Amino acid sequence: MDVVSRTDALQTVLAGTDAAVYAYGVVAARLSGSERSRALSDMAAHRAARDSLAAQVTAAGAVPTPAAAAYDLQRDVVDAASARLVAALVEDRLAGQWAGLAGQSTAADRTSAATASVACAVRQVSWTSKAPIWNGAA
Amino acid sequence: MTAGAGALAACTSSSGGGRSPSPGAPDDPDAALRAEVAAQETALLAQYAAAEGVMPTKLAPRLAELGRRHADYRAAVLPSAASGSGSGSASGSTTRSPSASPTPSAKPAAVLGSLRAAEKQTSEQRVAQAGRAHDPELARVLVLVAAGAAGASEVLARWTS
Repeated sequence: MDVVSRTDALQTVLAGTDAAVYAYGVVAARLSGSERSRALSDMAAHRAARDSLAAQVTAAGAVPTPAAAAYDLQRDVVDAASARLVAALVEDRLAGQWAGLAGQSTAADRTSAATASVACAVRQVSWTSKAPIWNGAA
Repeated sequence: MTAGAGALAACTSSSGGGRSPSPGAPDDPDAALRAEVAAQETALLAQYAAAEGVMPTKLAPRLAELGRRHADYRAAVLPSAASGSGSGSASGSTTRSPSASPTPSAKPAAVLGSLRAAEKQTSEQRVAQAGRAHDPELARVLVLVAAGAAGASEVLARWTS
């Protein structure tokens, strides 16, 4: 397994989870009730994944790329509908990034990355009721 | 608000972390795995094709669209020469297995429930199969198929709730 490529893939997913944590903060602010609770729960899941990824980057002998102060969400989040779309977009992209990490991983680590990719795909459907054929291709 | 735009950029390619023979090459260590996945995708296509027959007119096209992805998945794991067009419909280019056909009296809700379970099982199978893949790109594709099948299962759950 190419160690440099795996570390790059880890950094890519780390950046994606950082973006997801940021995005869900914006998303949650535009939602209410159970949807807001779900957004906060999803944000917590990404935060936990981010911490694990950062630890893996460190264990690989690299320095985790720090989170940015803000991220381009690719569309304005102005109401609940746009908030749901951004949440789905984040999950879609992350599902693809986790799959990329799985490809760069040994069998043991591959399963956890695959499981994370699947979890993102399921969360995406929870926001839009739509499932792309190929996650991360949008 | 522009920092980290790449973090939201699509990840649609892999640099590949290992050295593997080309898919379909005589020494492809994933040949059996590719065939296994393709056979399972063909069976699922047949299950969708059979299900369309018992769906209400309004739902049948949506079901066909959802099932059609499995032709893409099958094509993605096979060497290009063996995968056909890769754009077949859920109704076409499939071989129905005896167990794939619901009885004419089968209720749509029950058929959708069976498809949902099949998609969930497919997702779990692809996760496990990704762990067996030698080719990093095949592993990545299998994980994407797992994600797609999990998503389809969730969509079907919403149709039945």
